[in-house]
Amino acid sequence: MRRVEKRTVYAALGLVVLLVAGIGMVLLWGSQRSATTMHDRVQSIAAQLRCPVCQGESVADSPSGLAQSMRTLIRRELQRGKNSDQIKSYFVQRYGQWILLAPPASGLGAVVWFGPPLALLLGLIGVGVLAFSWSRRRPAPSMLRMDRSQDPEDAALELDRLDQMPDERSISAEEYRLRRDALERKGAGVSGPKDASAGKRSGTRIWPHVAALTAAALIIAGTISLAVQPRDSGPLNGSIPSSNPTPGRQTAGPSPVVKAANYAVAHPRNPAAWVRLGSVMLTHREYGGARRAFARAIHLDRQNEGARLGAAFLDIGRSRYRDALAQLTIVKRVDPSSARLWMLEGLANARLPGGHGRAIAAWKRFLALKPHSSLAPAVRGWISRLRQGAEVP
Amino acid sequence: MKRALWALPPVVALVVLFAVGFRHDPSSVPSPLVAKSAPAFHLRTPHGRAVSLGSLKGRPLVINFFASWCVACHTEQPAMVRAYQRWHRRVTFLGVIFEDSTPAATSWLRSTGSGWPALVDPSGQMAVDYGVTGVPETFFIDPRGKIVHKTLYLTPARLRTGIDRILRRA
Repeated sequence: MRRVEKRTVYAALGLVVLLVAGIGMVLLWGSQRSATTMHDRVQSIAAQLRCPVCQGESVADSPSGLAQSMRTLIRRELQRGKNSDQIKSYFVQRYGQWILLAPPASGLGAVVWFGPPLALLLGLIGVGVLAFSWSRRRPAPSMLRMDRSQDPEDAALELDRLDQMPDERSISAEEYRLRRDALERKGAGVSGPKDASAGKRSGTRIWPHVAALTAAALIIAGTISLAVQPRDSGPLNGSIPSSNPTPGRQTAGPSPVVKAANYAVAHPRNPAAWVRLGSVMLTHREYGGARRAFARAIHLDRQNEGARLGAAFLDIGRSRYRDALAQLTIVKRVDPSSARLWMLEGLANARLPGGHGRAIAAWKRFLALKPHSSLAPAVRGWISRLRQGAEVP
Repeated sequence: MKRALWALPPVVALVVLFAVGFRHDPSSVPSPLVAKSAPAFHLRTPHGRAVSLGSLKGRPLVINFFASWCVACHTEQPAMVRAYQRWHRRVTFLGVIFEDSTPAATSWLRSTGSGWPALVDPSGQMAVDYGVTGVPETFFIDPRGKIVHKTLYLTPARLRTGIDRILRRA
């Protein structure tokens, strides 16, 4: 009776779990906005396509030029009256099935679609079988060693247990016969109430509960993963968040730093992308990130002017004037007509002992190159200060 | 002995995996466009000269997607220049600027001594039409306008193989 009650409880628990999982799935699907505007429709299709020049990003999320071209193409085809399947088919003809983030439900792709639910089902069956076997498990044979001091009632209980053992194949037929004879000799020829042994068993087992909870967790996790699977390219999927995220930035679109970072990650061999990221981070006062970005650009292209100038600027900011001048020496070889070069050269020299003459010469070159720059008046002021022996602020 | 037998299936699986994997040429990109008609294009050179696939039919064609910022493009360029010098009377060479500024791309191309025109693909339409996944990528198109071969990084040998294949169909 008691076992029947337990099964009822487990069945009820299972139903509750399935109900919760089902409601969760419905809510998740329901939360997916239907694409109504043209922008939504473009994004919806783009989210299903892999960005060819990125790593793990969809066309919807990627800031790369090729992804932008693909989005433009999607928009144009939608305006021409093509539907989602036709547009996806166009990309598959160009790039193959690989371009689709969600693989087809046929051939090898079927493994991805049907593998997880199948594995979930097999797992649940396995857990169920284990739970069932645990709930019926008897004490080990060694525990049934005859205690010569046991009373006839205990012997009757042991005999009852022993009667169930051959079915479980836990002892040999010979051992079974010997033990039964011994128990009968003890004077316990009557069978005790079976429920008594069942009652003793039920007190200490936790495994069925653990198994039931595991099964519940698996069902919920599996169902949610199945519900989420088709939408695996969220708005920030694969993107690098800014080190100083602003609340609400996600809904307002990625920040310039995130955009530049995404572009650099999408084009890891493009030094210009890293220079751009460094410059954007510099304007956002993310100096550590800017330094790393410029270093990456220099690693890719040792003579990259933008990266060297950015690194020199950061060196001056950290009072490492000689390091800055070393960076600028390389720029001089590449592009001696760079006004920014001479501006930074002047700034670095002005702070070095005995460097005032070189600073004045550098700033004069800056003024020759950019006489109408907004910085020109300030630079003229600095030159006159240095000539008077004063320090530059 | 039994333990050794247990190890056999993974070893066999690994051998099969390597046998299949090492047969693939990493420079050969499986493109669904190979053996199909090349997508049409109508683009212009930086000087404004219109170039279309239709106007080039009848001659074997090598289309190279490139960018001045692309290190691999710099590496393969000498091979392209030599191939151009050798075959330009029989084969048409075209460059397509990919995600790069036109002045930067053309000045770099000129500095390498190339004699073939570069096409400006401002919207990236041609790159998408050709299923380009990055640069450099090179397509070999036979005189009937069919894509015969596509490769990533060019070496003199790969270039010769590709050109031989389109010349055989000429």
